[in-house]
Amino acid sequence: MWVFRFVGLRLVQAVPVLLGISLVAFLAIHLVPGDPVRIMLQGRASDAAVAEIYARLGMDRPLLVQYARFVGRAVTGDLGTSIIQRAPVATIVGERLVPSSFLLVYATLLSVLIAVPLAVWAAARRNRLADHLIRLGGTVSFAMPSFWIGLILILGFGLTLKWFPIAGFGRGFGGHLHHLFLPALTIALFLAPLLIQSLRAAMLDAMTAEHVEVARAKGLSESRILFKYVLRAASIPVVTILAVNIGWLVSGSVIVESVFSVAGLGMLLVHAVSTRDYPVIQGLTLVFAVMVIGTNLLADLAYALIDKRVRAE
Amino acid sequence: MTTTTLAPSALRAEVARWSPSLWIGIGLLAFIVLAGLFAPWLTPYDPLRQDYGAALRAPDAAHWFGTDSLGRDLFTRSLYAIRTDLVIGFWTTYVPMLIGVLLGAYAGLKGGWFDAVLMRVIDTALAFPFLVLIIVILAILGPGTQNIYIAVFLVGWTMYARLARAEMLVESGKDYILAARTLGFPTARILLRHALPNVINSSIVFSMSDFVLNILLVSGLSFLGLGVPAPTPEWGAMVAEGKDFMQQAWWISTLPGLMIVLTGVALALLGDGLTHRLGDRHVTGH
Amino acid sequence: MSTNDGLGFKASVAVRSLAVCAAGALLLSACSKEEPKAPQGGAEPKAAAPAGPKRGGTFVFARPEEPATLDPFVPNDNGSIYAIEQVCDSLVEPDTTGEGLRPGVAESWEISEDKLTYTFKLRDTKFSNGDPVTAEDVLFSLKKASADSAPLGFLYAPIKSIEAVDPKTVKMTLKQAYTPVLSALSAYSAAVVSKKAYEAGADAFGQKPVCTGPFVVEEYSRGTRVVLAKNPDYWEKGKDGQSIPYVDKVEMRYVADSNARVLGLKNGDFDAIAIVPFNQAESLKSMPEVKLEEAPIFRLDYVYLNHKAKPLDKKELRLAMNLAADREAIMKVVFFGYGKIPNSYMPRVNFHSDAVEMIPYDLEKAKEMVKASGYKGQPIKLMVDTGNAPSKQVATILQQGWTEAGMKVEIVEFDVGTAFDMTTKGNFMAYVSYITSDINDTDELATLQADVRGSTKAFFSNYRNDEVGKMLDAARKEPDAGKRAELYAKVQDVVYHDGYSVPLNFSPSLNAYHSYVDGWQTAKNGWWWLKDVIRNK
Repeated sequence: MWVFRFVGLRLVQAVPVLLGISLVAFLAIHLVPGDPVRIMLQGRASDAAVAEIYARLGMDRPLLVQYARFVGRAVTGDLGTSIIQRAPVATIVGERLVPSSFLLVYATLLSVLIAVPLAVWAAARRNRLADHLIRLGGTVSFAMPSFWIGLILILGFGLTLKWFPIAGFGRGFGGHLHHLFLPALTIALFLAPLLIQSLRAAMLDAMTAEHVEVARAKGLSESRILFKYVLRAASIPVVTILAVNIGWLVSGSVIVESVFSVAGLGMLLVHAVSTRDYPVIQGLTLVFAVMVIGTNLLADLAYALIDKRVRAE
Repeated sequence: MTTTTLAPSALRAEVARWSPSLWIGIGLLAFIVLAGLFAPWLTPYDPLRQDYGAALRAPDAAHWFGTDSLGRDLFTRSLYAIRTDLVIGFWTTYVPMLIGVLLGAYAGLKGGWFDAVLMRVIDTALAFPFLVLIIVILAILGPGTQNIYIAVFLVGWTMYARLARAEMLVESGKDYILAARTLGFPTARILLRHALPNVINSSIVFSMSDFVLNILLVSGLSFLGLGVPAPTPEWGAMVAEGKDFMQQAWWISTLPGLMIVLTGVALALLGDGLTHRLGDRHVTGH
Repeated sequence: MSTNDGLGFKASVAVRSLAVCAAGALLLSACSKEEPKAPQGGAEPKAAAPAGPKRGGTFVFARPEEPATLDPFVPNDNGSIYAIEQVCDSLVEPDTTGEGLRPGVAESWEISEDKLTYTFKLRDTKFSNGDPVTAEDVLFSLKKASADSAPLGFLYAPIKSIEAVDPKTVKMTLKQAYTPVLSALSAYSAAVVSKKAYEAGADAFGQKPVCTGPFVVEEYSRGTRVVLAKNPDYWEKGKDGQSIPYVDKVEMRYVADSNARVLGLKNGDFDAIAIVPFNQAESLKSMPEVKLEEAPIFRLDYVYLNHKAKPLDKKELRLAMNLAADREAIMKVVFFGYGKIPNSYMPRVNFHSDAVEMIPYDLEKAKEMVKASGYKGQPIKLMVDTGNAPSKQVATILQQGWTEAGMKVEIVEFDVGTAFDMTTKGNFMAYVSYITSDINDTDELATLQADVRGSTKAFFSNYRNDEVGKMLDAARKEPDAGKRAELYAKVQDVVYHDGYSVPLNFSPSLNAYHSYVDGWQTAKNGWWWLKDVIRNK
């Protein structure tokens, strides 16, 4: 039952941060200079309509009351209502969650697929040409803006070769895989270098570890050692790197979704900003932050599962 | 205390310890900065001058990067954009670094409620995906260069504060700090005169990759239409302008984007070299 | 990301066309003077071919705008309105061209001698849930349509009362004579909905409206697509005497990215696409299997000027802005030759005059005018919508010309919502935008745009010319069409040469479809009638 205690403890530790997040999200609508409702309605609503929306959003009450209500509702999954789209924010966000999550998981898997062999290769050929080339490739890849890489992939694989669709989510699992391949690859191209870097370092450490030396002395082949000991030891940094960079990954997906017109959370955010749909912006702020915290929690959990010593803490 | 003047021999010794990546990084960056500074002498065109007769020209000897839909020379615009992107990248990196290092080091030295509150603020800020937070702030303030500065200044310092605080916690146990405290020096003086030079290294190393990320951020925001306003030459905005012309004029989006990559690689190599020079530390991005 | 298309103005299109009809209705009570016409189709004398038009199939259609809701009493964006037009009919409907009116849910109507009482005879038709349409539903719908919070609520203000004479007859009484009332009733926001279904829950209704239109919503996936199925009970008959729509289903995809739309059409993923960016039209024209539709719509792209904002209060400076506007370049670079350089301050509707002399591109004259205006280098802030690439190009071209003429110009970007808000509040100098009209009568826009006595202060320009006001009053009272045309031509001449605005282009709507598609037509109000589309494949 350590899992429950572990998760419970981490959740309690997260409370101040969650409060901070909710405050930021709450203020997102209140810090707008001028009248957010009128801006949302583009200045063509009657006073009565504006007042009605204020009442509906509860924006006619004292700030503290509003904040308490906001938090109370958010806890139960109620994120308010979009003025522009006339639907509950939770519903709108929920619909967008699937393409975004699909993309993030797809991109993560792709980057692991790219990173593991390259990292193994680089570690095995330490300080040789392959190692240097892989590291240089990583540096270049890190410096490439995702919107630019996305457009290049569109130009090459979409418009010229016509192998992949250049926009949308597609239908069915196969359709999703096909449609999201280029966007996922775009994200993977900036995530993989980070993974390679830390995997390589971790593997170099593991290769010289004592039990590996013992195994080597016992006559185990290098490839068995690699798969049995080294990769397992190296999987911890992969989990950590993914967790630490989830915020960055999400940031990248905002731009990538816009480039490939994937109807996910990122595109919703950009769209909500351009239509000044403040309740949606507010809801998304909250959801994104919770996603980051949730992922970190999951990573901690995975970490604990892999390495039993962490549980004791 | 650190040595402030470098004798020629010391300089030579210092240079001798530079790694190839540091050399290449410095060289590339110098090249880019000079190209930005001397842009007017490097090209015969005006970055804003439109020439409708020469619209959508493919790259050739007269227009190395081709021209855009308004007939502006893209190579010229890419060169002038160095001024835009590098300058914004510089300020959005080093102003937050200054704020962050001071706050973080102070918190690490002082401890108590200031430290506790600061850490909670940092945890909160870092819980948001960086770009999301910046976009939300821009949604409140409106788009534009000035508001990008405000948004990044508001958020960007947190990573530096965390780094500096961690360093400070290590430093504050050391003899020279304890001695200074015993002598009754004010905290601010201990911080600025004694501790700061020792806690700033990891931030300097991190700042190089942060610089890259900030250039990607500014160009990304401009790509989304939230950044530098037209007609100022800016790489991300140029890539965005070419998006609609991809099928007729591939060069509008692709070639200016190369400038971002080149600058990013220069800074990354420089950062790599600095990491080795200043001691190996693992630093991760936003 | 918001659309980067030639016509990528999302919400504001409708906003402006509403305002047009609204202000028109409030100020001068004339929203459309068209007499109802007989329904189109079916009246062709040709002998019916034995095969008849092909029926069935799924018509896949990509457009850049996404419907926010399908509840007719809520939206004001084209994404929603154009979809609602396919699903919900009103008592009266615009005809295929968009220039006239035709019967809708009301089969016929009678207008009393004093023009104050309208009696509508309801068609014997059913809602998509199978319930018959009753007077009670009409009363409910019109009450929702005229509510304060409804997008076009003010259009129905002159209506005094509506009552049910019997389950199939509705009587409407007006406070005063109000010719455009039929036009107002043809709007999407006056759609006849099922009272029972709406009262069961407005949110659910917004996803699956229960109306009487040619299509029924089968699937509504926000952010991706709306699937419409043929309404088997729709009243209108096609060329073969059978009820339309011809196709079984329409899949309306939301594809914001213009490259993706064009590529999808070329690859055969889409049968048709709406809003082809001007720069890609040429590549489609060269494809034999694709047809490009260049549909003239009631639209003028122009730079709004605020005559109250110094230094634009000086006519000489406004004229200098016109003289230094390189419209040929804009036509070439931004519109790729589509449209027509305007000689007017308003879209080309019925009383448009071609005789008005165009202001030439003349930098030398512009420089003189700048000097004559006493301009002292105050920065002129030229506003564009964020993410709207063509607007940005226009602004950049104007900036170059105006700078050469001696003005100092700054381009400022705001998202569409904020930009339009600032415009309505008079908090702007110059704004690259456009106006559309869904009504084919000069009266509305002339009055709306040029008469400062109106509620929008001459459509936010604060343009003041008492002579123009007098001419407009005279034209409105004038029964003779020839004399009205003369007066409107004079107004057009005076307002245009007063430097009311900087007109840029009478821009068309570009759409494209495969050659196996028949019956595609864009109405002048901007939308398309999918009920008439035949998919020969």
